[in-house]
Amino acid sequence: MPSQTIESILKTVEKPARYTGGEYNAPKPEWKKLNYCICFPDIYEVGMSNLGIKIVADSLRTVDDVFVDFAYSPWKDFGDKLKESGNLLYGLSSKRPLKDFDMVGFSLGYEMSYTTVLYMLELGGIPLRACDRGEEYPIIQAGGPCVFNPEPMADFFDLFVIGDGEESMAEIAEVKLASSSKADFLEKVASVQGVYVPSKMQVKYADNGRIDGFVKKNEIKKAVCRDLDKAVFPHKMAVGNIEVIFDRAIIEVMRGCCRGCRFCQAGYVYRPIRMKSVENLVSQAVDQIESTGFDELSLNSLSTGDYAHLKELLTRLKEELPCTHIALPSLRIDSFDGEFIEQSRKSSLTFAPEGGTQRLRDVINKDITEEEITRTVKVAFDKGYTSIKLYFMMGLPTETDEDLSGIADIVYKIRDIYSANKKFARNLRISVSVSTFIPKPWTAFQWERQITKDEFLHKVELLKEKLFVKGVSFSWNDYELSMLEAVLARGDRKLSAVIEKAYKNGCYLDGWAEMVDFKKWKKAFDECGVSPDEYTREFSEDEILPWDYMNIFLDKNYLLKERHKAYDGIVTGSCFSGCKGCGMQKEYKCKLC
Amino acid sequence: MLVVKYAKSDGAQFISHLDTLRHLQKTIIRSKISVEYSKGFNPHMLIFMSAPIGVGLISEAEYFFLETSERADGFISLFNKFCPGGFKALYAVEVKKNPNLQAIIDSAEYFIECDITDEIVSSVLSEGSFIVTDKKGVEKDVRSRILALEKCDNGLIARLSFGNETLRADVFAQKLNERYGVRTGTIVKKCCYIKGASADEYIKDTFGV
Repeated sequence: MPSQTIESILKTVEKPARYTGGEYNAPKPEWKKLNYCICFPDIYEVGMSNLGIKIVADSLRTVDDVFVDFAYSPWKDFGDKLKESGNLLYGLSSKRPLKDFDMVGFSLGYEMSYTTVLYMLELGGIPLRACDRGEEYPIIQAGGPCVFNPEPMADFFDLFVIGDGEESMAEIAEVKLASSSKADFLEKVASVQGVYVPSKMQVKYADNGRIDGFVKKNEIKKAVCRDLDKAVFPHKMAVGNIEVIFDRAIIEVMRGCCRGCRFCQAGYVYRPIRMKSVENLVSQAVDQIESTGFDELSLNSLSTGDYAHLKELLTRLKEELPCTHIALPSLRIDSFDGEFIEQSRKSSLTFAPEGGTQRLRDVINKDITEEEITRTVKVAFDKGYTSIKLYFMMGLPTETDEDLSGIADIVYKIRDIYSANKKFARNLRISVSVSTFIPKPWTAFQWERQITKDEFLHKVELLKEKLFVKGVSFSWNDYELSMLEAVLARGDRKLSAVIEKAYKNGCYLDGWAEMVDFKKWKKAFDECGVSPDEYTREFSEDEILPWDYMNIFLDKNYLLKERHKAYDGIVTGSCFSGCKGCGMQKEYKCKLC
Repeated sequence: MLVVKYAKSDGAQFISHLDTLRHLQKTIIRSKISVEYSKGFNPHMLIFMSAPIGVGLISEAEYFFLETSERADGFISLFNKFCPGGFKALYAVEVKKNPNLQAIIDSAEYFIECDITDEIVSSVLSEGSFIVTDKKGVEKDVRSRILALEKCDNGLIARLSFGNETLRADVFAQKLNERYGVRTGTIVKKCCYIKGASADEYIKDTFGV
């Protein structure tokens, strides 16, 4: 018996409405033949803003006899109280503990959420490791962007779903309904496209500790939704009880990105490019706004400015939803449209040139020229913008001090443009945010090493000096965090033990600056005898990479070619200028209009 | 123009004042009730709420004023169709102008579930002071904010100052517990008062069309 009721705990914690459920449009409490709890390993405000889990829920709901609930990670206060009082973490709508569900699925959106998965499992009364869970426990599953290399989390999950969830999730639910036991289910589900059952694959290691090969029965292939216009998309989205991070309606205008920036994992793994029809998008937008009451609509994708019918879409949306403010979150500098600036009320513009010089931008295949940057900024200033945000990376392959100085040169140039037209140069605000390059699986840079701490400190010092200018603010990330992210991104199964140890040492909600404690992580690595350097080093081109066993329809040779072109400073350009033959074209068609 | 009385319970009592405002606005947008907006650079809906109630307190007497041409009856059914769970519009009255609810409501009556005795009730009422400690740790005498106490079946009916000078019912209940060992349970805000009259009647008589 719990020593305290949830009701009385709620009176003592911050933002209790995170834990009450009952959101407008949220699922009604039910209990059916198959009960699925979708978990997001971050707090309510973050999880409620995620579109992916809502699509997954919709896919599951197409199957009869399935009830879908949601759970998010509690903040420390509520988590502590749950533990102290002997209560278990529950699904928000049903109020049933996680361990009572038939299946529990996690969305792995970023590496720093891994320990939070373990936190939620433990709070929900579920043993952490798959091998310690018998028939009485739910099947634990994961999907999302991180599962393109799920190996570090392999020991904790029964299965992963790689790729699009629109169709695969419903198929998995069907298989579960028709299965007699956990073993029977895992046997059957392994043949569903997109499914990877880690216990059914053995990783062989050579004497030097590196991967020697994989032993598996099934081919592991990414799930791909061929036609997004025909796929499920939530008609009604739950409206957060409290203000969430993205407190607005969302439609996804396309999936995939045709730019092929060589560092960008999302740009490679979400291929093929599939644009949705204007007709469908307008109807989904109207649905969203009418069912939620939001006054803002966000047109999401990796590069919304590249959407072929953006002008038509914006015109139609203005007609259908005259009172709704339209937000375009991911505009690339060259797709930025003067017309849109005029429509928008915001006073701040965000650009991500990523590299400071043309040479470096060629290396990363970000085909933006300085001329394009200055031209766009000029238009924006004429329209009354006074604030510019710039995103760059440091530690990119081949980068020199000159490339970093290039960042400062761009900033100076923007200042000059501003003061040429305006009397009061001091009104201009430029914020420069420079993050550390992290090599990610399935990119042209998957073999690259990460910079060392000394290199990092040198680069930050250099930038600090150059960007010590009035009206310019410069921010950067902690080295340790980026290093940890790099290790978890390119790690293998040996890291499961480290992650578990880190959690036991008290790490969870590591994505939060006030929570993460690198010392505890360091201790975990030491205790497990695993060196982070093994994962931040340069991988050799002929070694077997931890994720090489899966087929996401991307040719390794293509990535290799891209890597070599990067070192030669040769731009590949975007898919708009013709198919580049990344491998996708052999099985799937890109829909570029 | 309407003044609407609504209830917050079944989980909605944990939604803060500002978030409640967001939900009221979204409910009105969803229901497509016509409503006026301010004419400024960033137009906002002309809706004004009564003073905030503490997070976690169930209420059967929250109010807001809305600049709308919608009639009272139609409004209630539309609001209740489109509001989030735990919210419920109870009553609406058509008014001539914005009564400034935040300023005019001066006291509220609460039901506090507890095992209080008649002796404790008279003791509280007969004492000259009632000291509570606020969040900052500052002690304050709030005796003047305890307007009436009456023991009822399984608890206490307490009328406390509300608005400009507020004594939170949960703070009051906690003090009863610390000082007299009274065990307290659910607290429900039952009604509001303006100058001694029930808020519903006062608003209707003074501002009603």
